[in-house]
Amino acid sequence: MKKQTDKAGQHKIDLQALKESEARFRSIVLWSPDAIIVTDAKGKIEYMNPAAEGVFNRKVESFIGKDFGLPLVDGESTEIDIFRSGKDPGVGDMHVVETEWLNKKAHLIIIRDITERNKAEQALKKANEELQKLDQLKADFISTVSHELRTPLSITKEGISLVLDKTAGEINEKQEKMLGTARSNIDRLARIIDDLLDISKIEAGKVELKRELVDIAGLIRQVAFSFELSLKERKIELKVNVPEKQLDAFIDPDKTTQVFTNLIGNALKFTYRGYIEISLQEKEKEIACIVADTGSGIDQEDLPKVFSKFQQFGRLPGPGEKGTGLGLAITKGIIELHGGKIWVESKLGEGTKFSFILPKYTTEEIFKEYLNNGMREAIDKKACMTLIVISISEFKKLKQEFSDEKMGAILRSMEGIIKDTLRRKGDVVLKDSGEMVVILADCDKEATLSVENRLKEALDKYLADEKLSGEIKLRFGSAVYPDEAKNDRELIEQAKKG
Amino acid sequence: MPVKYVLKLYVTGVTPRSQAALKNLKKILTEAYKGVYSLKVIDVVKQPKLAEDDKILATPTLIKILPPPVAKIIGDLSDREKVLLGLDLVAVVGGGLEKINEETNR
Repeated sequence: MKKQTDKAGQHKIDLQALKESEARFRSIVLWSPDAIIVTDAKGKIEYMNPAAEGVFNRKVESFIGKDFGLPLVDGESTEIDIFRSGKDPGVGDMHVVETEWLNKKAHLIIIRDITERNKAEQALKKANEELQKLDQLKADFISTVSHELRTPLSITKEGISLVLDKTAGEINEKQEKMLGTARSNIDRLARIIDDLLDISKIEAGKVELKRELVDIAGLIRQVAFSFELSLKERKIELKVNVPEKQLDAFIDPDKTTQVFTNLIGNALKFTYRGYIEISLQEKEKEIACIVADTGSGIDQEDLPKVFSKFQQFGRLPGPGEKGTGLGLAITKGIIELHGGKIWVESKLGEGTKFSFILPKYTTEEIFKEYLNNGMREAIDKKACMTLIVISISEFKKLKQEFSDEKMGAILRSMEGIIKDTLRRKGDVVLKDSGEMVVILADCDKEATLSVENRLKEALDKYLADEKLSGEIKLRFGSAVYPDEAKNDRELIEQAKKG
Repeated sequence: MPVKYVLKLYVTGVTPRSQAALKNLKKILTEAYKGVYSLKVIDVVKQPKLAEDDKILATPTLIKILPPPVAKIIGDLSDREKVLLGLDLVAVVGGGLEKINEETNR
């Protein structure tokens, strides 16, 4: 008797456990906020949970036994539009799992209502598109406005100049004075527009530097020379502390000239006695420049605002052109575009010192920039460009035979000859591996071969004259883009093959 | 006798899913099958009654009415193999379904 009771008792316990387990799983399905649908293999709805009523805005009973359809999900899940009678359509995330239902193949479909999330995503996407459009509009606006402003300005200036030149008839002294003032203000306005355009382009990231290897020492000397007259007039000394020999820097010569002109010009405006000093120093990884003066100095309070736009400080500048308030902002922009840094130190009444550094580049980096610029130009102009590689056979051995110095001198001479032969129509880079690379724009295969021949002639002549023909053997190779190569890597490979 | 397919595609306006389904379906129909087809595109927003009658719950939904049996698939139809399988469409190499009739009510 006991055994039977135990069996019955055990049976009751098992049943209880089963009921509890079933209750747990049922509550998961019942309380799930996502719609859970079970269909048979053909898509007929076997079960729909209460959440589905909310998602589809329909009573579950109306759908049991009806055809849901075969959900085709590529991968994990797919997005669908939820059709809700009487309401706006929603968006859902549909997960499908193949499973079994009462021992038959079935589909377990879970649909999460992501209508709100989708709305937010769409709004974000739209906002992004608007921002991009605005950016483009801004850039177009700046260049259009500058152009529009310049035209009436130059017409006005033309008219005033004609009257001042007495082309329209005689004018008296008073009229001459007034028109003179008007004309110089138009010039000032034109400068402001130019500067505005400059700084807008810099800020919009639309300035592309045209960098090349330039003798920066020579550049400074040139700029200093242009100020000589004004300096003499004001009886201010100019100290140019710049190395005598050439110092090559990879810079945009026009923009760098703009920087020095601005800094020296500023110094001149605020210095009435003493001197202005320009120094240049080559360091390991950078080139350091300083423009210092013994002028009126800048107040500590104003120092942080020095590079801001339209800042012109208390002191009345000396005679001469009035500034635009944008010069230093532009200068800072140009230095930073070059990858450099600029800063200022000053003491009221004692003087001001502007310092900046420009990074140094390896020949490899310079070569890459020339190459990419050349390729970009070729694409823009739908033209071609050429890479010519001149290599020296057994360069390593030769470097040991001759000293490093002598080899360096020979290479530089050959580089000079190449430049002369090209007559400034291409970029030349002397690589550390003893290769001389030439990049030519607008050059098809025929023209390339003719250039190659000219170079070969000139270099052979040099080697013969120096009695080096025996030891130094040159190899020539070239490749044209886009005809013979699709990218920079292929171009270099092809050119090296010769 | 060329095989004739009669298809109905339910979409919701011009949501990205609707556009994808339409594009994918057109591609499948013109690229791989021999036969003729008649396709009706129905916008559930514009004609909700038709959607109710066909018991549409979600779009895009493609219904094959002919040849039997009736098949209903849901999704953006991007997996060509699955679509063919789901519609019992037989793939024939090197042909396209000749369009005999296409109606779009969107």
